Amino acid sequence: MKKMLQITLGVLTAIGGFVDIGDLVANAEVGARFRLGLAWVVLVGVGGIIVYAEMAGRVAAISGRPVFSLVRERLGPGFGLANLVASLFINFLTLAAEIAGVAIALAMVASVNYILLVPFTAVLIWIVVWRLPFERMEQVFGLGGLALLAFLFALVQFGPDWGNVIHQATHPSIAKEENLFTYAYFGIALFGAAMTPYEVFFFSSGAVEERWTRKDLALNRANVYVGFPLGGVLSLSIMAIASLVLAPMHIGVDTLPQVALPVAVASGKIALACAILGIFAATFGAALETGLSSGYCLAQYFGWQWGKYVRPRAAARFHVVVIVMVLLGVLVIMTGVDPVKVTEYSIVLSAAALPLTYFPILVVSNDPDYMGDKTNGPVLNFIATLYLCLIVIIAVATIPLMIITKAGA
Amino acid sequence: MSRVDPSKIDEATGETRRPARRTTPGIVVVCTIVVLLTVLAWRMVPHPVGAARTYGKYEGKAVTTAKSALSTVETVRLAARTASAGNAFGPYTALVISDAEEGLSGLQGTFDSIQPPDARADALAQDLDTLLSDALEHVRGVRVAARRGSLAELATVAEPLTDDASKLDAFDARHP
Repeated sequence: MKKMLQITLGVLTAIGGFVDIGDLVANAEVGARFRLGLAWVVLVGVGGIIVYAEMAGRVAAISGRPVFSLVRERLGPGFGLANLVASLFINFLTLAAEIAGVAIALAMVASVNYILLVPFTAVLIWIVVWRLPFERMEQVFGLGGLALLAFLFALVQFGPDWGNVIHQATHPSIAKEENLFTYAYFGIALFGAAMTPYEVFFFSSGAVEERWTRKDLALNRANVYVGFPLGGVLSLSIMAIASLVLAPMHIGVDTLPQVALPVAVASGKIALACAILGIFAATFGAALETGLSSGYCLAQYFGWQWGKYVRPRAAARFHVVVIVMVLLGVLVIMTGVDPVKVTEYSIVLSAAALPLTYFPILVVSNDPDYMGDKTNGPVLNFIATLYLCLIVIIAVATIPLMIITKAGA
Repeated sequence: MSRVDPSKIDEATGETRRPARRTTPGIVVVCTIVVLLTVLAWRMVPHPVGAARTYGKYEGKAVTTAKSALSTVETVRLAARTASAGNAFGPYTALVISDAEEGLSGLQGTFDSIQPPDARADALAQDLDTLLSDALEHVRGVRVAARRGSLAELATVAEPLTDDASKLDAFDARHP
């Protein structure tokens, strides 16, 4: 049991990365509009995040330092600053949206407008960051997010024609109401959702928080090979059940509560309750991930003490950064801005900023000064370089596609 | 390699950090990010339906609006049927329907804000606006029933939406 709980860092990272509020809505929207025509993108994204998260975890375990702190040292303060600015901006947008997502999840059971729940949510997030030990936080919200398996349950219970489902997933096609540009746009959104930068920063910092060493390399691989594919399974389940329930009725998805509707249709109240619990845990986990990731990035760039493994007083600036980010996120959401739109833009913009995150990881993980004899092998380097080329192409195409498709409208 | 205490990095490595390498692309990247922020600020304005200078463009906006409205109406119908069948609970159902009502109201407001370019577009606007108003009134009725906890009767209350959905679908078909 203890060994199983050791993979909760990977599970939490994947839950917060693959099924945060934006991904929940994006997966359901893609399922409703394209059915399973973009399922292959999730698989490609899972492959990419496995490759790079494993590197990030290995860097943390061997060097004892998280990736972000090494980026500035290895590639210079200019590059590090660019990475910091991009990461903080994306983290901020995502954190604001996740705070709203948690409030919306509570509103699904409370009959209270979610705006009124936002301050309460922010306080809850702060209490967890301040008081809950890192490992406990992983276990609670990582395992809580597994309640999203209700979508997989609903999919199975719906009793689809599995042959048709598999055919759709393995024969990508563009729905006749769509065009190549919107297909590419949503493909990029899904890929960006799978490889959001805060996932690797959180994962590598979490590895240092848990004091991983060379002896934990197998644990690193277990986290990566279990956690991220699990996130992929959840994404595909949401996409598939939406394609079966919503697509035939020409229902588009643009709110978080709509995402759980197919579960209610297919499996009833108990499954719906599990789905809502999973949405709460996933968005809360993502809020923790992005909030802490903001603190990690800033503190590691400036060389401040950081982390939950020391007393808050010893990492005061780190905790102040997290609190300030949460407060700013609350202020943004209280203006009434649509949190789903906020996070969808952050997903797409993070796709544009991916090279800033993943290129340094590839460089550092090949540097024997940091990695000793645990640098990348040739096969891994080949795969990682292919992904890096793909990431660069995506980064270049993102903004033009956003403009051409009017953000997928 | 021995365990490293991150709070004592310099002591643990036992040597000074390597001097950071200058990278001039850093400034280029920061400038790129500023451009991206500007694009984001522009795109964040929620106005998916822009101005229409010709009847063709106006008709296109109308069809987009009708399709979105149809999606909203179908969402409410599905939520109402699901709740009546005992598969969804009250607060959740009420929230889904409230969100749909808000969305539909927003769609109507956005479409009404577009200036019709000519008299033919005026007739089109009147036609669609009537459909949207009817749908909104019926969605409001479902919302009220849901908030009052009348889940068992929700499917009955939502019956007029079947006609609204057909009319919106027919509107879409008339204006390809």
